[in-house]
Amino acid sequence: MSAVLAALGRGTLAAARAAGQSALVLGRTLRAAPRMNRRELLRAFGHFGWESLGICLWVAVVIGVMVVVQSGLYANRFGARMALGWASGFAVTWEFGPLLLGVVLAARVGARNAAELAVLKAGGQLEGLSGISLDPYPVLLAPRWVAITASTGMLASVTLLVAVCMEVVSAWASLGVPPRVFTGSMADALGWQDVLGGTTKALFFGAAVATVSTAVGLRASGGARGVGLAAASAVVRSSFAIFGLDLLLTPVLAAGLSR
Amino acid sequence: MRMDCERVGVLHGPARALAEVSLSLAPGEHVLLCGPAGSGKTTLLKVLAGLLRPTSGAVRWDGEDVAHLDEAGRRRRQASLGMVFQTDALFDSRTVLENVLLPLHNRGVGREEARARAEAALEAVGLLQAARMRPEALSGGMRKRAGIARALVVAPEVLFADDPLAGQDPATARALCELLDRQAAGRTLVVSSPEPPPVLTIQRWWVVDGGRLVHDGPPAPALIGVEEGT
Repeated sequence: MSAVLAALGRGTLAAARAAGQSALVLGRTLRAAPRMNRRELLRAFGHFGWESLGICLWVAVVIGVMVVVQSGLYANRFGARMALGWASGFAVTWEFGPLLLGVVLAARVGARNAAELAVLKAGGQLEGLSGISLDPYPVLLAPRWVAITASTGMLASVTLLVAVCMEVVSAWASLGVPPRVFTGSMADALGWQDVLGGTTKALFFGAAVATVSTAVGLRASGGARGVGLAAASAVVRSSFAIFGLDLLLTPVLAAGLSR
Repeated sequence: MRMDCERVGVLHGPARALAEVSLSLAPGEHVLLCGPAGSGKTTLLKVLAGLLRPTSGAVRWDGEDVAHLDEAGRRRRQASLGMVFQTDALFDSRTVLENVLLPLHNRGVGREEARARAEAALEAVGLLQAARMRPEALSGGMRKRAGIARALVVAPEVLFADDPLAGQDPATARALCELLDRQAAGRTLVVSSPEPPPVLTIQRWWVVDGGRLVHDGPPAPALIGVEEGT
């Protein structure tokens, strides 16, 4: 029993330490954001945003097809095909779209950011910036944070749009639901608030991925093992942060946007 | 800039990296910091350059305790220091010219002037023709020279070079020493190296061993296991 309590205590302390480190990184990043290097920002947008567009489109296609196929089973069973557009649209814009996009970006962008920062730390480049009296936050870290967060919001808009289009196509192809019926049901029950809610959630998920991966990358130590651990840890911690935020944000945003 | 260390100690976890180190560095002095691997040379350089806060003791720049400076004040004072890192610390994602331009970021230097200064620094180290290349495409010696150019672009009062000859062949090591010798004129220079570098004639040596300063004075090759005259 005491061993279980000790393990629980260690886990809680580790989680509190990680949350504290992330909060410090977030604070310093936001403070440095107005002075950030614009050239590095453009580079980071290309690196983390543009280069992630392809995988986001694939995610959109998969989500669109998957949600319609799954919900179609129940729609057919209960004779609720007329509500398929609303149910699938709601699921994609509010839940599956932002959540899956967040997790995929945690793996692609978060791991990449953490690994790169870990390599820069091990190679002495981060210390080198201090050695030439430059603060790494405005020069390197804030541009990455802003690019990851803003890119996630932009990619979410594209992903949700493509996912909804894929739903229309897949409902027609697999269940024979005419596009006009599907989109009519969707338009009747869904509004701009739902799209805004999903995009806002994705924006928060992007900020979580950026913050956690930066904090993990900056704490990395050692060589190849340290870089590997940083990448893995960034994915795991970012995913936990995304699930936690999803739990918190859904009722808050739903209440706020329905007013 | 005058630099003083008073009974400086540094702990890396439980391991002692520096213990009770006291020394002074006057403007324009040239010092060779030597000692075996793991003796504390890099730690001492970082402490002097304000990159590492000592666990005990005090470091003063022109009589001002570095520990009492806020971050902006420390960076302002560090602007007159140049550091050549053991690992060269160049960003492979940027060109050589962009790496050399980095220290001039946010210093109120105009774009044209910054470019002219960076190109002059690259010319001084013989790398102007490689300005548009990425550091990953350079040889080890060229990377070191690019690191020296980056340190020189701010026209530092004090130049620190952390083991600049590590991993270099004899010809490259000689060329780097000649370069450092030329650039040392009129500024303070501290070069760390496990053994006396060729060409560089430095009359003051700091010898560290086990984190302690065991010698501060004229060249003492016997202390680092090098025969006189070699």
